[in-house]
Amino acid sequence: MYGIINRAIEDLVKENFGEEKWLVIKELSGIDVDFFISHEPYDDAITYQLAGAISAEMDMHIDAVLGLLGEWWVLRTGMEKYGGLMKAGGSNLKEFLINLPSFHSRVMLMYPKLSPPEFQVSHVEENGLYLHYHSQRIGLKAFVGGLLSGLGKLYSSPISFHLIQSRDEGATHEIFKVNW
Amino acid sequence: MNTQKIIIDLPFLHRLFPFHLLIDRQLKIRSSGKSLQVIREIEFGADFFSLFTISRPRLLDLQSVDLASLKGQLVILEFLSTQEKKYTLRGQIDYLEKEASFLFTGSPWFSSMDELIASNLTLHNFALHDPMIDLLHVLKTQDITMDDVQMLLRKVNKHNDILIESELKYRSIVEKATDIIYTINADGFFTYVNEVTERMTAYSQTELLTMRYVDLIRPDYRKKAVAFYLKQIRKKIQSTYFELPLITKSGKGIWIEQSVQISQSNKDKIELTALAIDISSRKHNEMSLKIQEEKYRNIITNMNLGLLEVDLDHNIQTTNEIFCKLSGFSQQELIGKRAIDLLLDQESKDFLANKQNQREHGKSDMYSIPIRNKNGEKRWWLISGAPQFNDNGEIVGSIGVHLDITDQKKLEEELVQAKIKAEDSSKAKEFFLATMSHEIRTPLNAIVGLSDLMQMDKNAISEDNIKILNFSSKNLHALITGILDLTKIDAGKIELIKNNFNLHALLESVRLSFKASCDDKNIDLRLEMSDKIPKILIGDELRLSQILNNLISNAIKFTSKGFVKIRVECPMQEKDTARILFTISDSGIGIRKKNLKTIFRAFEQADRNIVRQFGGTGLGLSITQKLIHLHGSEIYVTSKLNKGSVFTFHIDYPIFMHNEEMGNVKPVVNFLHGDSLIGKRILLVEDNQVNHLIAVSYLNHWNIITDIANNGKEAIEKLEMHSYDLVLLDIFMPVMDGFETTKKIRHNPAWKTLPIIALTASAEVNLIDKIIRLGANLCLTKPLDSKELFQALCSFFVQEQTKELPSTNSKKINTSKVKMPSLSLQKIEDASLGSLKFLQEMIALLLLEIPQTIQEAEDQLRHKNFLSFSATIHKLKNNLLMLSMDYLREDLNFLEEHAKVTNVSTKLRPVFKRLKECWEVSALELKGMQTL
Repeated sequence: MYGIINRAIEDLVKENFGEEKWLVIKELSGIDVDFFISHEPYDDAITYQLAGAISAEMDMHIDAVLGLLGEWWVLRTGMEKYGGLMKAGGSNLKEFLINLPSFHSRVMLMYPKLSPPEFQVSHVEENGLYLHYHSQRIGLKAFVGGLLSGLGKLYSSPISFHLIQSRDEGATHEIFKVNW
Repeated sequence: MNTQKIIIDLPFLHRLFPFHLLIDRQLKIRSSGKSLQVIREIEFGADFFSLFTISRPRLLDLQSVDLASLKGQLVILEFLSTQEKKYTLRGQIDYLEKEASFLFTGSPWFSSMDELIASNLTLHNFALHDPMIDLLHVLKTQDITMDDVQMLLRKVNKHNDILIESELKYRSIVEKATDIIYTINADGFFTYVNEVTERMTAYSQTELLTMRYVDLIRPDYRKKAVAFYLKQIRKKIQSTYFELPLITKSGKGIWIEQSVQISQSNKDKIELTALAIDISSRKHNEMSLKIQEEKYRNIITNMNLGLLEVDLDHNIQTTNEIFCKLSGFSQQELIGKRAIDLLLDQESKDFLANKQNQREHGKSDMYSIPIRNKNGEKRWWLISGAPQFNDNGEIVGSIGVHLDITDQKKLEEELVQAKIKAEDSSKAKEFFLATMSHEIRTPLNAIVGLSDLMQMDKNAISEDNIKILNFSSKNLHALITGILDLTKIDAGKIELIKNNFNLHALLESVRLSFKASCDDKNIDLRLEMSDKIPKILIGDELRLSQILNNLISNAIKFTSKGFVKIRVECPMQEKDTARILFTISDSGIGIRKKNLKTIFRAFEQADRNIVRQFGGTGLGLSITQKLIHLHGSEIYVTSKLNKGSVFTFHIDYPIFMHNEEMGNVKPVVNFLHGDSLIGKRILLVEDNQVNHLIAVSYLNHWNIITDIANNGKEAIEKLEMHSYDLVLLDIFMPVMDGFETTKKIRHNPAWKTLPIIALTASAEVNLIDKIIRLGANLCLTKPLDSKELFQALCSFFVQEQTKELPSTNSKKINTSKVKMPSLSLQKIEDASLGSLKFLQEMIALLLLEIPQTIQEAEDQLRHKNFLSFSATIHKLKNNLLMLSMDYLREDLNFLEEHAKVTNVSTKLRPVFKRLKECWEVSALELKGMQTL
């Protein structure tokens, strides 16, 4: 993953739990990287180790950590780092979600070293749709959930979602049924 | 070229080009894209140039614009929004012949996503093929990257600042450090030196930076140091510690200890950083300590002290040669072994375990312990042990200094035994003194009490009282004689004098000497002699007679009825030696079993009650046993209470083998009747008139012809003129004393075998010893005892016939009328052998001589002629003691001895005055006696 994800984790910990805690978590994770460069790819294991260390140190379930990180990614990293890009994604939640597949396709082209997930949208209705999530990575569906929650908050729109299929149950990819 | 025309409908145009403009040939706007409408509402038919300007390419003729000429060029349009914000559109213009219109296709140009959002545009306002959004995204990414770079720069700058600060701080520390700090490169050249390095080495920084560190090392140490640091570099040892000597620029030697860190730069350049301190002082101390230690080790070695160092488990770490010598083990046999296993038995191990415990608590002490050396010999060692510490102050073992004290230990044990004996002896002496006190007081009380009584009441002068006085005086004499004998034996001053003697004659003589006393007690005195006893033996007959006298007199004393038997046998006879077995048995009171062990101890008697019942000194058996020991033998006793006692001893005597030559050999000792002495010619050498009288009285009694010489000089003259059988020689005389006289006699070959009996009033063993060494055959103490003198004379004149010692009892003077106050005539009476005439002459002589002597002494004292005074007092002592005025003995001895060493009369005068006063009283009494 790109360093910006790990930076997001670092910022999340520092802001919520303090600088000292970050040093403890970093120490605990065993990662020997002083500075994450935003658009430099890092081994995925680093991200998992950081999330695991937060889970252990804060006594939180790993899915809760990833969910928190998903929200943080949208509300803080996305807004602060990319600012208008997030807003340009759509004028409302529905528009943003519908644009999400092409957005990630653009990202794939822009960041050739990144293996971004692929999203698809189906069953678009007035107040809902199916969001298809394809990823080479395993165990980040909680992160996607966090992203959805964050988007709901970003667009001040009540949002609910649940998995209607998952790779854990033998499916080819995850499908979130999202409503607003 | 395919010129087929494609008709594009408006919705399609809107989807593909949401920011398009369709302009007719009159330059009126026919259509605009939906997304362009979001930015600014554009009315149909509006004049193109009223809304837009073409900023690129530059239009040369603004009056007649030909948009067709822009074909194939990038066209940039600018127009204002309703908010008066200026927008830029980037695209191209083509002419559509069918529509007879110009078509602008492109999209707005934003420099940031924020500008886009400010224009109320979103992602879906752009055609999917339009990369504007992506471009903005990339730009944003660049911004983020720039942010990262700036953040990183801040971070790097911050670290750099910290590094600089740190370097400054450390440089400051290094510069201000009191230690030597330097760096060298792999070639050994200095690359940095601090001020201390300069100061210590006396080289400047400039000089040092051209030098190699090895140049500073003392030449004899360079090879070692270089090898050490090459190893550090080769093996990449991070940190090392080393002590090495340096030579400063001024040639002075210093010692440093240094810690060297190795570091490697990115270019693989090796650098060594050294931190060193001057340890010259410590090295000096260590050297001093080493010298001291060596010195003490040498001292220990020279003092014959074994040194041993062991660890906490007693394993030997080091020893010195002396320890090896003491233990008998070699160094190889000792090192690494447990000392306690090699040298100690179980008891000592337990003892040492306790010591070890004390060591572990840091205690030092000294103790002695028995060990077994390699040969299994038991030796005693004195060990001074102390705990041994390491550099951290932890106890790691102990160190001990060992001294072989086996000889001292033996001596100590002997001393302990001697002390025990001495204490026993002391206790016995205390008892003896208490007893003697009683014994002395008893006769003294009798003498003093009875004499006072007789003085006050003439009727008290009875024969019984005089007998009591006589008995008391003799008892006192026996006490004093016994003490003197014991003293001589204990001092080792008695040596056996070996002469030929007739044992038969001696035994008969002894029997006869006790016959009278046995007759008095109605006891049967038996003498049984074996025929096997050789006639003449060689030995000390005087000491044998003393032994027999003691045992027989004891037997008689403790036997009230029955017998006293003397049995003499010869159970074994070899070629020239005969074992003579003596058994003295009696039917007396016997000895309790528990007392059998103590009766031979000096000053003890079998039962202390016996002292009071039977009298005696308690010295007889002790003297007897010691005399038998002198003969190399032992005395045994068996006894039954109220049945009697049996004393047994044997003596091995050489046999005299040439009986036919008896006439040519030295006279055999014998006790003889006075007749045997008849006609013998004796020279009496004596300056004292009183002694003349006494000795002559005895000698006349035994019909001996006596000649008198007043000093040694006269004696030599007489010996040269006449032939004598024997000389009685006083030791202390004027002109020529006894010592000188003896020497002169023995010096003359004609008088080599002439018997000399020395006489002295002194009990000093040394004097007796001296006169015997000079050649006297015997020494008798004065006042002369008739029996002793008789036996002494007999020992020199052999006769076969033996008779009883002439008794004086029958001729005893009737002294019932003699007054007996503070003086006694007993000695004179004894010497008189019953002659009243002698007694009267003697008193007269004393009354004449003593005052003269006192006067003489007084004159000498007045003229401070102290040596003469001493000699005169000696003479006076003789006379006063003849009168049994023993209470003056102490004063007389003091005057005699003190006068020899003093030159003032202060202390002498009062004593002499007291003496004179005593005599004046006694003189009156003596005069009274003379008239009786």
